[in-house]
This record gives sequence, C-alpha cells and structure tokens, in this order.
Amino acid sequence: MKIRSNLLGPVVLAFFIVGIAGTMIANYWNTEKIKIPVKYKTGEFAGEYNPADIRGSYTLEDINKSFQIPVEDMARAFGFGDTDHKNTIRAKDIERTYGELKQGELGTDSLRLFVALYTGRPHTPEETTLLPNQAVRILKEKAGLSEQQLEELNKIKIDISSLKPGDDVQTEQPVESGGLEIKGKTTFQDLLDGGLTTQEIEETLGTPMGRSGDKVRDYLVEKGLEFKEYKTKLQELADSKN
Amino acid sequence: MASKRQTAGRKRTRIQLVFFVLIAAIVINHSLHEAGMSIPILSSASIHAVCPFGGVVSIYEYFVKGTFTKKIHESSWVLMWITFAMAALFGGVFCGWVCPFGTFQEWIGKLGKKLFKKRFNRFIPYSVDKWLRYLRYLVLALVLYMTAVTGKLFFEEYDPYYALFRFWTGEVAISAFVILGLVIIANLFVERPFCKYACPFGAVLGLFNLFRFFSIKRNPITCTDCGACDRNCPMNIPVATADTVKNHQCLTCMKCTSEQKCPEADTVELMAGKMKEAA
Ligand code: SF4
Repeated sequence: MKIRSNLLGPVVLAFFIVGIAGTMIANYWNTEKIKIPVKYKTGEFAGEYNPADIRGSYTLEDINKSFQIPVEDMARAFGFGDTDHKNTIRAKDIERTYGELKQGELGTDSLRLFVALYTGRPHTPEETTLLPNQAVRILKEKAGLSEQQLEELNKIKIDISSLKPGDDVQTEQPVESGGLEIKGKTTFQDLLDGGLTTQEIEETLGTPMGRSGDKVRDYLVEKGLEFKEYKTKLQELADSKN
Repeated sequence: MASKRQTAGRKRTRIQLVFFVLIAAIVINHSLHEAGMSIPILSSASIHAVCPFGGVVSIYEYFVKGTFTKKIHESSWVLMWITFAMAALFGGVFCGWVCPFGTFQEWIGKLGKKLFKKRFNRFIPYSVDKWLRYLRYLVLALVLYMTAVTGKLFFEEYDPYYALFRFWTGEVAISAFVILGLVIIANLFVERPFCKYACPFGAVLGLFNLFRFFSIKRNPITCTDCGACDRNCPMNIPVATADTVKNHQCLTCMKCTSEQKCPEADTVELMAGKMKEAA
C-alpha cells in the first residue's frame, strides 16, 4: 500500500483534528494550569481553600473563583482600581509593580494576607509583608476584623498613592547579609547552595526534601505544613553555617 | 505551469505553512491575552501547551507523581500521543510536515542553497557526520534527566524554538538566543542543523523509523543508481543503498520518492508491505 503526498498531508491534519477534538469532547484537553489552591488538611478550615497557596501566576479572576472575593475589591485594594482588564491582573503584577520597598515587601504574600483576612481564614504572613492603606480600609469595611487584627494591620499598612501601577517604582535592594535568607521564593537548591545538606533539611522539615527547583514554601503548603514555623528553623540552620 | 513533481513537494510546504502560521498566531494571541486583549475563537494557549515535547519531558513526573512538569498541561500530553501515533505509522513525519522550527530552518536553508549552491549541506563528510547525528540522543538524555531532577522545564533556557516564538516577551534566556543565532548561522551551511544534531524530540521520533508501518522503500530492480534520492535528501541519508530506509533521521519528507526527485516510476515510495508487489 502506497501513500502519496496528497494523502499524507490530509492524514497528518486529520490526526491532529481528530485527536484534539476527541479529547475536547472527553473533557481532557486543557491548555492552562488549573489555578486552584490546595485545601487546608486539618483544623477548623479543613476542606477549604488555603490562601497561602495563591501563586504569582494566579489572576484576580482565579482567586475570585476559589475565594469569591469581588475582583473589583482586590484590584482597588492594591491600587489597580483604574486599570482595565482587572480580571487578568496576576499576583505577580503586584510584586512587579511594588516589590521590595524600604518598609518591607508588597507582593504575592500581601495578596494572600488580604484574601485570608477578607475570608476569615488563617494565614501567617511573612515578616516583611505589607498591605496598602486602601486594602486595610476595604478589610475594615467588609471583613469584620477584631481589634487585635486591626492593630496588627496598622503596623504593616503603607501609603501607595505615590506608587501608582505603571510608575517606575523605586525598590530597595535587600541588604546583602552574606548568608542565605529564607524567603517564600527560596528553593531547595538555594538551601543546598547555602551549605545545608539534604539530611539536615529533611531532619528539620521532618519530611523528604522536594526536588531542587521546588520552592520550599510551596512544597510545605502542598503538604499542609506551616511555612513560617519551618522558615525560622531553616534560617537558624542557615545562620549556623556562616 | 508547475509539474506534477513540483506540486507534490508543494503539498508538504503548504501543510508546513499552515502549522507555522497557526502556532505563530496562537503564541501572539497568548501575549495579547496576557495584555488583557485577545483574538476571540483563536486559542491563546502558551507555546508550551501546544508543544508535544512537553509531554515527553513530563513522562517521568506523570508516572511517578501523576502530574505534569511545571508549565505543561494535558494538551502537551495529548499532542505527544498524537505525534507518537503518527510516528508509529509514518516515522518522523511530524518533523518533516509539522514542526514550525523545522520549517523555519528550511527557509533559512534556502538562503544557504543560494549562497553555496551544490556545496550546501555537503560540507561534512557523511562518514563523520553520521556519528555526530547521535548527539541529539545525548541532548535528550540530559534534558530528561535535568527535568526529572529539577521539576522545571530545563530545556526552556536553551530552546531556540522558544526563543524564536517568544523573542519579544523578555522571558527568553540569553542562552536560548545564542543557540538560535548559532542554528541560523549553521543553517547557511547545513540543512536543518538543529534537527540533525540537537533536537531531543526529533531524537525520540527518529526511533519510530526503525519500525514504522509505512517506510520509504526502494525497488532495487527498477533503480538505475542515478543517486537523485541521495542528492536530494535533506538529511543526507543514503537512500540509494537501502531497500528500506530505517535511518533515525528520516523526516518522511518524500523528496527522495518517485513522486518527487526519483526519475523512475514506482521505484522509491512511502509504503507498507513488500516493494516487489508494486514493481
Ligand atoms: S528524502 Fe527520503 S530518506 Fe531523506 S528524509 Fe526525506 S523521506 Fe527520508
């Protein structure tokens, strides 16, 4: 049986058309990461989505789907109230726009904290996490926060009126301490590069180490563990190497 | 008026153009989508989502953890199986008829042909070159190993295809641009240099040429040993001495066949079964 070009061309096209259409019908074809955060595994909120797993690639629309927070509120909270296409703003856009400032950091973790407070779910922010004034205002208005929470927020709120999205934001470079600083972005490879051994990391975490490119924070959140608790332990271990 | 042989060759180039334009349109639409405006109906998938090699680098992760490597989705997995099914039937047909980076190299190669005429694609003696062609298996092994260890798309930083189709985004690593530049320069001397020496996906698909259902077959009875098939094979495969082309580099481009460059009727064909039946 011979195959000629005038048959092979349509056969090649047919393979793709049938293959893609078939998997679309079977509901398997998917070209995007399904952006759904992990759920709390234990405690009062077990089974609910955990804001700590919001990633930089999540759009406000993705977050709205999991946490039912109006996109408009999130956009206004972070100074994107006048922006078109609010749905497609990503958590990492907040980080890109503001990032590391003198007072701390305004980025993905700020959005996680905002979502957690808005929905009344637990989340321990990183020590440097900031929230814009208007985010705090929206939370006061809609989230019914306790006196203690309000006091905490007053310590980390920041005026971003001079740092409008799209402006050239002056960011502060972190002070070089010479050693490894454990952050949300720290990967297992960073830990190894910082002089920690696989055995030390696994003993500290009480779980096998993730792959070298995995972020420690994401890895722990996926396992239902609290990053902050292990961050301190890992930092102590890293400091002891200097 | 174009001869029958020219028309046969154009069928392939038309299909190549369709895939090139489609992929270019999808990746541009992806950028538009990121900027909050996209062309309706047309997919705005990422370049990784429409690349079957993403499925190959995810194989380890899929069977160990049941997930895909970061940035890879079900679509890559589906495309990988479609490509494998085609390869089981026709060998490297994806490389020869579909891959937009192969098409891009063929366009650059036309410039090389203008510059070097008959010397183009004949600079390296085949006795040496045939061994260099196995380099792509080293690349494949390295990419699979590093992807499994890091859990990240290791090849992205070196991928000239990614550099070509995402050059405007600021996301492409310098190393990928450097490799793209080297491929373009080499392409002025050699046909499809990336496919020949470095493409890890071509390496996988090439294995199917060993047992594909439809193969390039030569009829030694009607063959006059004119060497037209050898001269016209972009991958420098010695067709004239083979009864069945099982070379891992064959693209199933059909240039060597009686439909195109072989001057004898029913002598070199893409076919299943025994050649003498057709003789
Ligand atoms: S010319 Fe023939 S042998 Fe060479 S790549 Fe094309 S189909 Fe394969």
